[in-house]
Amino acid sequence: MKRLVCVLLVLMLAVGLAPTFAQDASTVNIALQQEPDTLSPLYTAMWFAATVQDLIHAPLWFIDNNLNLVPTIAAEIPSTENGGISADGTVITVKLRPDAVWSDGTPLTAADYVFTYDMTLAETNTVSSRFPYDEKVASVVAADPQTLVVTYNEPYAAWYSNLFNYVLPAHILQPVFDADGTLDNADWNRNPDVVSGPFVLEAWEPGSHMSFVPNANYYAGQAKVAGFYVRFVPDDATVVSSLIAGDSDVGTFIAAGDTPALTEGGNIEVVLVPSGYNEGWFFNLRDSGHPALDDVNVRRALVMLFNRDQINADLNLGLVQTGSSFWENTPYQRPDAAPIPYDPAMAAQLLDEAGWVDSNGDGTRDKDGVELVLRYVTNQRQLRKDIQAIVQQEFEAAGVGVDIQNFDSDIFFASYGEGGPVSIGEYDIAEYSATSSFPDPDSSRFLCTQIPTDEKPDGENDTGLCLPELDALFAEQARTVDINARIAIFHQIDQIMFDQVAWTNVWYDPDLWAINTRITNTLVSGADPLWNAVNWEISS
Amino acid sequence: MSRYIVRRLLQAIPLFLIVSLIIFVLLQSAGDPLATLGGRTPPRAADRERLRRQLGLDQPILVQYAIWLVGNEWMFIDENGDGVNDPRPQNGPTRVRYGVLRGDFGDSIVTRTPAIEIIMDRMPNTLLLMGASELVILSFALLIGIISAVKQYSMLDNILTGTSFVLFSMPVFLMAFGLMYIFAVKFREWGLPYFPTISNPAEANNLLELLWYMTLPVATLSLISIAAYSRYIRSNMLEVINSDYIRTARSKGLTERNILYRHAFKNAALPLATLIGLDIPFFLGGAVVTERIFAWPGMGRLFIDHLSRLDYSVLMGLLMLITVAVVVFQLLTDLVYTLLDPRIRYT
Repeated sequence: MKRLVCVLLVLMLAVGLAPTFAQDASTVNIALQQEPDTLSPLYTAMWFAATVQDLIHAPLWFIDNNLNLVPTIAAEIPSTENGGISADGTVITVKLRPDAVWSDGTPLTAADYVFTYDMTLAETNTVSSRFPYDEKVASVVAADPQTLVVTYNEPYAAWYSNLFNYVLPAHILQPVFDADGTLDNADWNRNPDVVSGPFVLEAWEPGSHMSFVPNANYYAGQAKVAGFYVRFVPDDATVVSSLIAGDSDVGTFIAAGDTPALTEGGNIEVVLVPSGYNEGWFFNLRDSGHPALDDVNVRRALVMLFNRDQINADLNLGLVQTGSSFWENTPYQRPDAAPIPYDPAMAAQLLDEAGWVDSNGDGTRDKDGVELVLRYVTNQRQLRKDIQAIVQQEFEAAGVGVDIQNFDSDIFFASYGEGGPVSIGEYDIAEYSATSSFPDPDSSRFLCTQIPTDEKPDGENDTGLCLPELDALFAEQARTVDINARIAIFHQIDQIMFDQVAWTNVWYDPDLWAINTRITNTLVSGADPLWNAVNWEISS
Repeated sequence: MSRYIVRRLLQAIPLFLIVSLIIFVLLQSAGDPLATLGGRTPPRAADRERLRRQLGLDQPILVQYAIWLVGNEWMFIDENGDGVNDPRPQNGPTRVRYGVLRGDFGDSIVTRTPAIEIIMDRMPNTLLLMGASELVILSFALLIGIISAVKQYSMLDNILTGTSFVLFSMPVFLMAFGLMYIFAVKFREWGLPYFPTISNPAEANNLLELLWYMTLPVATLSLISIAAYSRYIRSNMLEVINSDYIRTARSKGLTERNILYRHAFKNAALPLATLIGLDIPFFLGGAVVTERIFAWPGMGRLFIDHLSRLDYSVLMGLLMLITVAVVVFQLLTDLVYTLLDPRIRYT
């Protein structure tokens, strides 16, 4: 009895002493699954790093949640009307804000951009990418402190999407480069104490968290929150638990299956953020594919047998819809686009007309002695495996055999040179999520020149679709700087793609963000997720 | 004794070299660290190729191993990644490497910072978590093991044994999420004192908060391991307390407490020293699943994070550190034996 009383007393003491983990109410708490590798934009291609960098590195313009350009350091968006785009489309002139300053108060000028350009191309810097400066840009010149002139080798339609998404402080980093011969080991990469964005780094505890506080010298408005606290939480389930418990306000890459638990309490909203990705079926039109796939009506029939709406309602909990375009929910999608409908009767008719009938009575359609059995491949993602099982049932009922195959992601997505099954064509239907050069619509995924071969081992055109007309349109849009003219070309491209059924949209695949409703005015963008962090507010 | 220690340490040198070569070759064969660079879409082939040359990843494996071991001052380097080795700059190469033998484990491909700094940043957290867990495990395992042995086949023994088996058979992730769901999510919902879902020692402002942050991860690691240790102690104790010298002690009229702790436990603990000695080096490896679930910034998580990016500088550093620790702690365990059992002598 005495022991029991002692135990109870200890427990009561523990309860009394228990710390309360109330978050700082004026700070936004974000849980990210991966820790940024660096805070220098020169040295990373990582999505999580780029997302955090939205807080501290201002681009010339942000791309907002509607894919509109929002001038930040640029005073205005260059256009032919304001003289920012030359008549031949090769020269982009950017006027900078005269009041733009670094967080230490030093003026931010065009010379900083020239330095950034030089550092990107400097031979001793192991930057993650030199694109587009090594391939597309002829020169970057500071005409005056507030005027930046970028000359391209030829008209380049995607100029707006990758032109100086960041700028380096020349007054801080030039001496480092002069002394070390490289920026690879600059302290600034991990501790950027002078930045151009609305927040400055307060602390970075490796493996644990980063904290950011407002930049008092930010020229484009003052932050409305006291700061951002970014924790690195590798496990998705822990991210969800921390959101439900209130330890985190914002979480990314939420699984559709977790949304009921998150939204149940009414204080968390799940936001769909367009990322350019679409889950799709790639048909193999190469010689290695099933001969039935050579017929566009067979491909259309297969899509008609696939009840995508039902799958999206049941397995994706109605959060996403069946799409009809590789550029779903963007201006580049053709107007009035509608998906191929689920219509098993019409599918059967199309297959019959194409000569694929069950002539030997084994339950599977055949033609010229070839059975209509398709290799349906994807990676190990459970959702995709579930879809494979459903499709197998639906197809077999229509006399189409399905041979399900699954690969680990590193093998499934491996290139032709590495023997990836999709890239070398060992499939008939491959399912995965793909994107254009989002936020830019350009893609080389359907070009004749990108069909993977021994000569082109890194080719991206897994379907093998090769239409000179399509190639010509892709080439034309890539050099069409006028945005409306480019959209019109994409509508033609999208129509051809839809008619060809070499690829079909299974669902429009946005990123799912979970945001506590106490955080308001969050307009998360797929291109620059935290683009309006300066305007985020915390409700009482 | 000192000759024995020196001999053992000298014998370890070729072992380190062989182990490091095997690990290096295996890691190099695991894939391409530049395949994605952590992005959603792979970088251009041209950028990957340039980086591969600049970072020396295009060199034959044995050359890369030699650079890792002794540095790169002896060779020409392709500084700009154009496929041609550049003349040696007057002040030496820009990315100079001194090699592990001179204390340079290289730079992380991911963070571009020295691998050894990354590892040392995480080590205190791992030692804190694993040390606390080991302490809890040993305390409870000794208590349970001794009670179970002394009260063999009693109701208490059966309950402790049954509970041990249930906990031992639980997967770590289930235990971790179960504890998190009850004590971090539900307790908060019920208005009770709760633990944080994210156990981050860097956020603790004082010792009490640190203990609070540590509770769930330590409980996860301990609850499962207590079972194994307590069973081991129980069987050792049973063997000892049924031996002749214990019977003699009883016949001499010594108290049960004296017999148990002074005579029985000391001998039963000898094999336990081996077990602990073998466990301690693996503390450095951290607890991969527990650290991941509770977002504990330790070595286990570091290993997984950098394994996913095939960051071989950090991985080599981690694995070699564990290798060294295994060799050193095995030697220390042997030396501890001489203290615990005067009959053992090394020459």
